[in-house]
Amino acid sequence: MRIGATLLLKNGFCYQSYGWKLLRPLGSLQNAVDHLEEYCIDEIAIIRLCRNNENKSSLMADLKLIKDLDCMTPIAFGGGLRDIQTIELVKNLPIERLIFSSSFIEKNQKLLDYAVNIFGNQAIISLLPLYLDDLKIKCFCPSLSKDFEIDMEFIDSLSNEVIIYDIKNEGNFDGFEMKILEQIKIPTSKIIATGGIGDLKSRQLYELGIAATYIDNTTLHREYSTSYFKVG
Amino acid sequence: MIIDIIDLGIGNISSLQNSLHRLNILSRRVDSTQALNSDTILLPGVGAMGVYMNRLESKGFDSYIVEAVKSNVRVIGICLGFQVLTKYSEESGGVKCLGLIEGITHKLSKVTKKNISTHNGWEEFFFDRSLLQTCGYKNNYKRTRKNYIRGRVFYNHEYGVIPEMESNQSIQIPNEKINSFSSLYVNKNIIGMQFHPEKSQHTGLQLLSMIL
Repeated sequence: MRIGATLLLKNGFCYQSYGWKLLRPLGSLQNAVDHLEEYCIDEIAIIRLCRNNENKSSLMADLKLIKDLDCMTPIAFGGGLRDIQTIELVKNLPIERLIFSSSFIEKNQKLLDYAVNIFGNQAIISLLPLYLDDLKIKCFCPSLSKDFEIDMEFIDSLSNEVIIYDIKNEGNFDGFEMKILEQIKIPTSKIIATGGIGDLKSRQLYELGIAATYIDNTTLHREYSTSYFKVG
Repeated sequence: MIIDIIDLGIGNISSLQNSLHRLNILSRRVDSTQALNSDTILLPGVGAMGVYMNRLESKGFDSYIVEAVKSNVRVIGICLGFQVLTKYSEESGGVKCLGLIEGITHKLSKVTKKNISTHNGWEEFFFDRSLLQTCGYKNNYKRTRKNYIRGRVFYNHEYGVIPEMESNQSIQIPNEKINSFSSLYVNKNIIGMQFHPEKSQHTGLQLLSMIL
């Protein structure tokens, strides 16, 4: 099981978030990435914070930051990849994988096919912002800023891996809701779990055979080496 | 020596350039055959085979690379850049490739028995420098005195290369589920790597300094 971290990017700076609401600044992107590399993280997901308020200049500024990034750890990038023009802009970035959220939730097959055609299917990751409400899974659609029904079959067929983001428990040490995984009809070997992953949850998820966990808050706030999480 | 990196407008070329920069190796992006002028050509690899091969052909890189190999130019392919050196790839509905490696690029799920459709993550890596000599790969630039590398490398692929004949030119992926696929291939002036050395942290840098 890989141990990764998420970095949220907004207006040129990195943040950690709590419960999908509160943001804690982490400084520059290069600085945060350097720290994660120092802690021997396996991969980094850089996600731009843009819901239904995307603007072009902010996108271009963020892409410039990614372009200048000096990093020898695998990078997945997402946040605002909602049209072909934006996909064209990320073609030359020093990234290996793309993260789509709204496009999977809204079933934008045309855009996803376009991305697969250029980057290959191995590069396509879906991100599902989920939470449990009355023991039922709810999915928040970033572009619409509201909950939306998801088609698991569609998501499974087009994504190489799926990030299950527990938005309610994000930033809550070991708070990740395991019941979410019981309702997700996606092979566990394709799942990346994040949002409240501590050492206990990390071990439970390893036993389930999932692909990776993103332990962002734990890594950056406590300045931990990731070796403690590398079980098996 | 300046290394020429083939620029097809897709892929993580700047990651590769950053790695080479850390090793004090000069490199440049080349987007036309007229500009190629190095004894080492690097084929980077993040993308889909259909588009990748199409762009190689439209810019005339396909025939240039085949001729360059005959003229003893070193050609190094990474991930998709490795797969394109084989004879044929099953990706994008089936694509005829450059045919510089006697092998086929197969979909992982078609070959593996345990329904492995993708291979993402890190695997152990051991490399003995003497393999380069055994396989006839010449390196006049001694950037490191190390003879062995032991570490881990990063993979992200759904297709892999299976050489047609078993030989010591190919090192298998050290994972029992997919060990029929090649991790690293050396034959004279050709090297192919299924993993990403530019994203394999310290191990990747060591390997690049040994082969470049």
